[in-house]
Amino acid sequence: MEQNKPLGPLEPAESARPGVPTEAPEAGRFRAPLNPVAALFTGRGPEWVRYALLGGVLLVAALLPFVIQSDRWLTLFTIVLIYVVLASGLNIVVGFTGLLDLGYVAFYAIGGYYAAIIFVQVLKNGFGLDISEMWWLTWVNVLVGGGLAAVAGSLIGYPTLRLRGDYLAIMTLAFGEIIRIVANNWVGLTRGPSGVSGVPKFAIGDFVFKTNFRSYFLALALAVISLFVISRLVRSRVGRAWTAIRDDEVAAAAMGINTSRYKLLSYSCGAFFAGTMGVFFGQYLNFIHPSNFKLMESFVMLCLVVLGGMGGLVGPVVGAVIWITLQEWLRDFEFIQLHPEVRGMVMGIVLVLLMIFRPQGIIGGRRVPLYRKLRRERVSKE
Amino acid sequence: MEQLTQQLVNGIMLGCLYALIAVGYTMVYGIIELINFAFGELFMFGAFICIALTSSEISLFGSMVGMPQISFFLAVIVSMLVVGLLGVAMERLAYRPLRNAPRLAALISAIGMSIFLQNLAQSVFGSQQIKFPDIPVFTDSAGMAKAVTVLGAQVTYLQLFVVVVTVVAMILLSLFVNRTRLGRAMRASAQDKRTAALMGVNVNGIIAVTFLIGSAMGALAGGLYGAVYHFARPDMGFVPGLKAFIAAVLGGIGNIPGAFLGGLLLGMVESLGAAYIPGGSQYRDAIAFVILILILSFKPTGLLGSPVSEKA
Amino acid sequence: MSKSYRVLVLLFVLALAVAVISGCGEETSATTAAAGETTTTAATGGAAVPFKFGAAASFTGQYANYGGSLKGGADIAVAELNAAGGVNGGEVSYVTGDELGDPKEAVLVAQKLIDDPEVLFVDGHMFSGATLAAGPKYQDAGLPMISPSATNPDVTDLGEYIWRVCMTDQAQGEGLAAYAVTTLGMKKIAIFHSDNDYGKGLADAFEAAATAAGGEIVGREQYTDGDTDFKAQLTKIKDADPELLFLSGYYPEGSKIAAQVKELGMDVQMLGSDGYGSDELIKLGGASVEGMLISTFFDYSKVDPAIQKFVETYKTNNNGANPDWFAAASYDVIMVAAQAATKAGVNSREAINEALNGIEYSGLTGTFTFDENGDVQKPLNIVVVQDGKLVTAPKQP
Repeated sequence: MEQNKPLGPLEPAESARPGVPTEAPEAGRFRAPLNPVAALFTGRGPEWVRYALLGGVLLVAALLPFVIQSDRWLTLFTIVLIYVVLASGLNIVVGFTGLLDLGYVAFYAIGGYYAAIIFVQVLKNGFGLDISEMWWLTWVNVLVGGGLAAVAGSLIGYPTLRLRGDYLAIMTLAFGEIIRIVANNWVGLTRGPSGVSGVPKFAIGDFVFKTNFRSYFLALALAVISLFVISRLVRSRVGRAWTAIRDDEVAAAAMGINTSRYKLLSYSCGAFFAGTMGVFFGQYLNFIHPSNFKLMESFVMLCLVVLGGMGGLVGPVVGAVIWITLQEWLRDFEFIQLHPEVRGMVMGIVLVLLMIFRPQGIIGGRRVPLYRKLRRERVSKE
Repeated sequence: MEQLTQQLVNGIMLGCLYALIAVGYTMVYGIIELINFAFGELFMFGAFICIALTSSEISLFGSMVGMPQISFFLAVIVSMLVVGLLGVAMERLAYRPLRNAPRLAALISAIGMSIFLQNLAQSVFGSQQIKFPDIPVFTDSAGMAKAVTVLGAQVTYLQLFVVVVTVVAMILLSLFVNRTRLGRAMRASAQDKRTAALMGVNVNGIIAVTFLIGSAMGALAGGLYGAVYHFARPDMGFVPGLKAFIAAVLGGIGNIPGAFLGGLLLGMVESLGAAYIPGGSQYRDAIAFVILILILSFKPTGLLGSPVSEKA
Repeated sequence: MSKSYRVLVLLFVLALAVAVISGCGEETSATTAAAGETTTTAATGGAAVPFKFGAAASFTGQYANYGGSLKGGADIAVAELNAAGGVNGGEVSYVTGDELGDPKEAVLVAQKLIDDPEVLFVDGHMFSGATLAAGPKYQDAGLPMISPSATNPDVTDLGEYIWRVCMTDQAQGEGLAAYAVTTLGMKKIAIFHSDNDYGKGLADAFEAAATAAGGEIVGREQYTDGDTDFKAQLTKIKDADPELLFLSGYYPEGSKIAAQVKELGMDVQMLGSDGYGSDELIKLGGASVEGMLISTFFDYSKVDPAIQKFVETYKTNNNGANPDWFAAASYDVIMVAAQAATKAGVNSREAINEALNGIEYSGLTGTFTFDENGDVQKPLNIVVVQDGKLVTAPKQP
């Protein structure tokens, strides 16, 4: 047991795998690489290449619904966008702060149930109000649901502060399960296993986000805003404190970082995005059910983060897009139609192979520049 | 009173099963610090192989195949061997390439293995649960489990057998890890692989042996679990795997007596919680999780775990 | 990790995959000829519109067995319809959608089926959670969905395109309570139910009706779907000493509950809900389920030629396993839709949905018509486990 390395599980990829040349020499950073894809993935190269690529990706995402014209794939991409935000939120906790969270689904559940309970259980059944008129609340909910999840995040985070590694993982897992079990059994509040149906859709006055087309753009807007906020967050002082905690908690504390506070902040920020997506999910499907929030969901989200590459901004996005799309695409094969279990087998093998060939994720973790320098010095000292 | 003794017995029996699963789990866990999600699937294969060998015929890929119908005890041993080797192969293919990679990559690889093996089992054995054949020693002629009454509580022979096996397995494994050369090499590899290698320990070999023993223990647990509850099905490993993980963490990662204690405690809490806390049967699992959280809050490294040093 | 090693790994895994896939391939050719035909798109009826439907259920994961039953029933219906020359001359086939019982996956499956213009109706979904999530999609798109087994009362409130061939929890709970208290004359009753919405909903309905009928509920406990150990709850029930133990849930847990009831030395009459009506219960429960009463809408021991033919075919296709009511209900869903299409004379979504109104159908799970809500009323049968077989119980409601 390598107990002298409490943060072992989240050791960043590059330095830990000496055989894999993932980082160019220092000088390479200033030699503009001609490969624009590499520039996007690694964050090197001139600024304008990155902005151009970012704009290109956004343009493709925005034009997608005009091109594909398929409700099925629009629904899928809406769900992909939900997972993009969930994975990016989880990445704050796992990738940037280095805390293994196996109960992230709890915050997603809190957001979803908040929207369902406030509309159906409280306003409609409790006060007998006409919820179809309260379109403004659908928007307020996104923030309130996120806020509630954030509060829950720091509450749940508090007892885990003393824990390290897998002890932390199991504790977060326990919280995640408790929330689901309560949701399944507190029938008076959550309607238990019947689920809450009739959650209203997003709307602005009479303009209801009813079609898959409108929902997709709403999800895209939410995802872009979330990713923008996250990208600012991790480049801020707070973000640097998180990466410092991930890399060396003792050193971070010695540098005057209040590690407990920043860890709680990390949980809260991560939870916030899960909460907003929970609200979106509830008001998109108009139905919330405990089986949406099974333990396996937490693992799936973790897979997305690691698959894409944790500790960067692009990784979780790529992970979510590739993985959720693959899952759906596999359904179309005639062979899988006949033998549905083969889908699971293929996905399992893909997961193992991807990890063996790209242990740092498809994209690999993109470091915040300041930290990259620090890291190298520490490695060379060792 | 009668209910209390029965509930205590229920708790101990359930706890012993959890302990047996956790003991195998924690060995692997201790040496490579991998949350081995595929352990539940090895456990499941253990149960399926036992059933296959003790039945007269079994459906494989949808067609019936004749089977040797050997005795349960022999079947368990064969199944331990097969699953042990499967564990070694799994380590070689899916985990060893990732030994120096970030630990989360190995965790995801384990999840992938778990998904793959579970669906493979469905492909091979079908989606319906299959029956565990009655074991003559533990069943009467009518096919009912033989039982004795102890202080008003009903205990089946099979359950007593499970308790004995669990305690013996725990003691033997502890002795093995603490008293033998191989065990010492294991502990050394667990602490520091590089230094252990410098001291002449074949670390890869040691890890393979650990997987062999740990997976075989998983098969043993799977076989007994299947026999106690008379069934096997492709998804049967997920919950016990999770319980084993909890028990192992509760006891202190890599600590064999700790895993035993953790499993026992988990079983007791589930049984007594469901029985004596109002609304307990609805919140049975939640109660166990609350106890887990409380214990970890006061003992952050588990019941018997050694304290984690701050970064050295 | 050398490069050659990785290639080795890759080759191994590929070999494994090929082995497995070829293994599955053999199965297709060997056993389910019906399934093989289903996905061939070559139309036999010339220009006739093919009669294609979607089978949406959980075919993998924790609830894979129910999806397996649904598929088993569907295969027989497809083979029979095709043998009879198709529906309105169109070849009968289906596509599967695996939703794992998960509401989000169910929505994706629904959207996939809706997008396929050839799909005329949906056989599924099986669980209420998935059904309630996917239902609105079908309703909006105008694709009829006929659930074989979603019993939640909310389901058919979703709209005119949503149907089901099973009874609501309310109706079954009342029927069973009357049976237990009045017909059997058992007053001290304990309830042990699953935590899913079927188990809980049925238990609620039963409890209310039994209390109203003069019975006394001496204990009510719950278990989680997928649990294997029930002794804590059962010991508590044993202490309350009921005459009748009402079990509301599905058979995979049911067989284990029955075994543990016997292991605890309890002497109680067990009455299982319709989720228990499967041969699997007996196969797994063995001697311990002997004497258990089970409510069912599909009594396969009945000497009805249609039922016997179905049972025989199912056994041949599935290595001798008897069909459960999920399979029978799935068969009925397809047959009732085929009857509707024949009545309308056109293979289209709209026509089938229109014709389902006021259709009179007589099938494996009884004779029924849909009410204005899309629900059915069916006679409740009670079967009993006797000598390892489900047979019609001497006392019927």
